[in-house]
Amino acid sequence: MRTRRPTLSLSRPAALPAALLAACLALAGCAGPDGEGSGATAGDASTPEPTSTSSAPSETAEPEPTATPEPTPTEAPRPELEITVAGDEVSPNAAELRLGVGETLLLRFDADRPGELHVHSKPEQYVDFTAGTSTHELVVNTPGTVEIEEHDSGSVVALVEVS
Amino acid sequence: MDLAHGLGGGGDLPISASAAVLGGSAALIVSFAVLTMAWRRPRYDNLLGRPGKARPGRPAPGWIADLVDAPWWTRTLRMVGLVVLGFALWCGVAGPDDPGTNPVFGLVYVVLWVGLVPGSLLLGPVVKALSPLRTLHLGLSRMLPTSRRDGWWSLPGWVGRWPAAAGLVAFAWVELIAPGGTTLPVLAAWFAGYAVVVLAGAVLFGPTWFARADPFEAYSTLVAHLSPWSRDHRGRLEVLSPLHHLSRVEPGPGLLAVVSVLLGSTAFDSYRESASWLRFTQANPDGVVLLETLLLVAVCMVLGGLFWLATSTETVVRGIGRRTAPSYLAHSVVPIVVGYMTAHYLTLLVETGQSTLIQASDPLGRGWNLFGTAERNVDLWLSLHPGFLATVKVLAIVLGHLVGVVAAHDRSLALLPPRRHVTGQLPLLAVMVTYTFGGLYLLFGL
Repeated sequence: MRTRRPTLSLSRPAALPAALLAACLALAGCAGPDGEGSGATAGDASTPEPTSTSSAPSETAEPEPTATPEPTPTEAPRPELEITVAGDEVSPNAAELRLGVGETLLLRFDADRPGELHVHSKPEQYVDFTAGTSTHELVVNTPGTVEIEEHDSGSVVALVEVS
Repeated sequence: MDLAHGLGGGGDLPISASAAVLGGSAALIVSFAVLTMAWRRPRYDNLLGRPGKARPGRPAPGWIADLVDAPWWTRTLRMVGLVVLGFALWCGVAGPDDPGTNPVFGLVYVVLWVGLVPGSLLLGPVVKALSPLRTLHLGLSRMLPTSRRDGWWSLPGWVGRWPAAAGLVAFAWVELIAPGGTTLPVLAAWFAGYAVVVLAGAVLFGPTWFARADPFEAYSTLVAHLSPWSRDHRGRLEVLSPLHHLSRVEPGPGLLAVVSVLLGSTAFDSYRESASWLRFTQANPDGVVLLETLLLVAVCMVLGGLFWLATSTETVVRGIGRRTAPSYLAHSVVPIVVGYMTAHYLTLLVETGQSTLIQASDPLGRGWNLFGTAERNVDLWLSLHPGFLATVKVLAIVLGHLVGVVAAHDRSLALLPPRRHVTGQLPLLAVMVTYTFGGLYLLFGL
């Protein structure tokens, strides 16, 4: 996935402690999700993720319906999530997004009833929306995988990987 | 209410999965290769009537042994267990039905279920020492005629730890699958059933029932076999290497079932949290509970079944044959379980554990500050250092597997005929690599 990979030599099985230590260090070095900074910086653009269309940071700036285009050093479109609420029918269905720590996600609502989003970040956040169209801004300051759940229906509309 | 692990908000970031999976599997194979060359004789006392190392442990420092065996200390621990139970009951009865306010959910899903792992790892069988049901049973026994204090019947040998395995499935079900697992009525119903089964069984079959049927005690006592605290043959407290201690896990029916359920429910939880499963269940909401229940049971059965197939072998030890050999090797899964539980629940324990302590100061949501913690905030240091967190998780899993491989290897040397010392272990190695590969794959989301 990332550029570095562990290089484990199987040819010298006698050096158990060395091999294990090497394995652990290699793992430790590689295992960290991005470490510092935003996961959606330009460094990621060379490895398009084969995940859902709504999350893939793409080099070509094609406009996608519910996409979160990647911020580039120049003025970039901001990440967005369009949420449609029709009674108990809520979409999207667990869209996967990526967001930087402290980055603003724009939530666009098109709802036929008022309601509340539970954002399972640390700490938890709540976003109230009204019937009709509205927009809200969401910022997550703790890295992690964050479920965004529409409270009344209990549906998860998005899984946001904040890094 | 699709909360992670039944409780607690955000999940961790996924880890660069290919690195973890390849590294973990490779570490396992390398260590096995080294073991077959460098470790040719069983080193741990192995319950097989063969001489292990004569005196593996050292006597514990006198004041610790005196303290642990002092009647007033035992009684104090029992009181602590009763007080915590009383507090949880009070929160459950008088508190609001809201996981955001009521600490009872955190007490069950974090302090009890997750906290018992580090507690047992460091201090030994903590659930056995604190169990309020054991204390209640002690009280009940006083009212019974002396001849009945050890139960009306003795428990048949084939029962083993099967009741505990069933209890663990039931707990995993209420934690991960049950609609309303974080509502008071469901939680109350579960624990009422648990208390009735465990207490009634103890009255009928005597105190042995707790070790066989209380899922929390059975789990805690297994994990305690990786702690340094054991008892020598005269019952005195001794300090022992965790690998030695692990070899003293009592084999028997249901042991493999217990460890398979612990491993399988963690695997199931990881899969259940994946985006693809979430999308599938949200698109097809009918029958999800039934489907997930079947999946949970199936995962546990497949993991246990693979282990059974790989270890069901003829041995050189009299009385241990194809049918019983697996339970003499199943202790090697315990460190693997601990590794996965650490990786899976570390942030839940540290962060939701803190919010539970904060909630405990104001359990009814009335602005109280009983323990002076109500004004605290959750310290999110762990989540704010995702690189460190990921490293700890991968190391826990790899270390768990390495200890498991050593334990299985040592026991295999005692069980297998010499000419099959290497070949006879290959199926089990294959299973362990499968566990590592599958476990890391699920946990770190490829």
